[in-house]
Amino acid sequence: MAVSPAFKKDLLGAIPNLRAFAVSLTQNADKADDLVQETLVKAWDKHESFQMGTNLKAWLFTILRNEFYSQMRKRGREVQDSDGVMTERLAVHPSQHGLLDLKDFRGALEQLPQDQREAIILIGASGFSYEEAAEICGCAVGTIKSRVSRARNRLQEILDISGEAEYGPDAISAQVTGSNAA
Amino acid sequence: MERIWRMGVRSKIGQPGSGFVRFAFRKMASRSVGRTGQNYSMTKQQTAALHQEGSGDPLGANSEIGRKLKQYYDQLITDEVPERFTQLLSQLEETEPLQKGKG
Repeated sequence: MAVSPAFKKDLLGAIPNLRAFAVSLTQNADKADDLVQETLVKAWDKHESFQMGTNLKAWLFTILRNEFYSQMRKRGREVQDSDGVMTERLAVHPSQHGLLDLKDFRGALEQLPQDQREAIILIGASGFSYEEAAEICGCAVGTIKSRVSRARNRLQEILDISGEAEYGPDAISAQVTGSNAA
Repeated sequence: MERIWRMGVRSKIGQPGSGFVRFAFRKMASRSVGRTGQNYSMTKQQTAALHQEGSGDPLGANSEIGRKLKQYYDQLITDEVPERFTQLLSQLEETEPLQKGKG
């Protein structure tokens, strides 16, 4: 069966998201684009296994993620396991003025174990539900939840955010919005 | 090329966390996808997904980590899609032609 024009159009539309996810996984722009390329080729070959009307973005993310891990295995690099040994690296010191810099954040994200990083990206940035993220990662919903929560705690720790109200646009307004949210 | 792409994006950042900048990012996202001739339904979906974030969400708008995550990701998705991908899909299309109409 030939590939439908709608499928091609949707593939193109998904590229920005795929690239963002790939960069989050690989932490490297060139490797990320190679990964996206592999994903597109695989998706094209496997288009018949995609059911129109279901979540194409989730399907593509699954392909990309599988491709990423299979490349890691091929290269003989060890994938960090779930409760993996946390790399003992120096914590990134946030800028002294309190506003959390995006560069610091990126550095902190890099320090997370792979499984925690992908979980927090899928949930907190790519806009997937816990159920969808669990499907993409091939694990239980509870596993995703605990990875996200550990990732969040770890990021707070690395970035030295002891409470959410401590850093923000300014101390006072952060306290006000903090109390509203509670 | 990729390096330039990264640098360029970084320099586009305005005030972190500013609502206007986040909005502008989305506009840029739509435009950069549109420019390559694609529809941007995916970008709209993405935007909708971002709006769905509830206030009870530990990574929602009230969370510093949640905000930074989205800022980090928005920066990545607003990058212009490199030519190589549109070319790749065209090549794939040549090897396996698109279905004409319904059937």
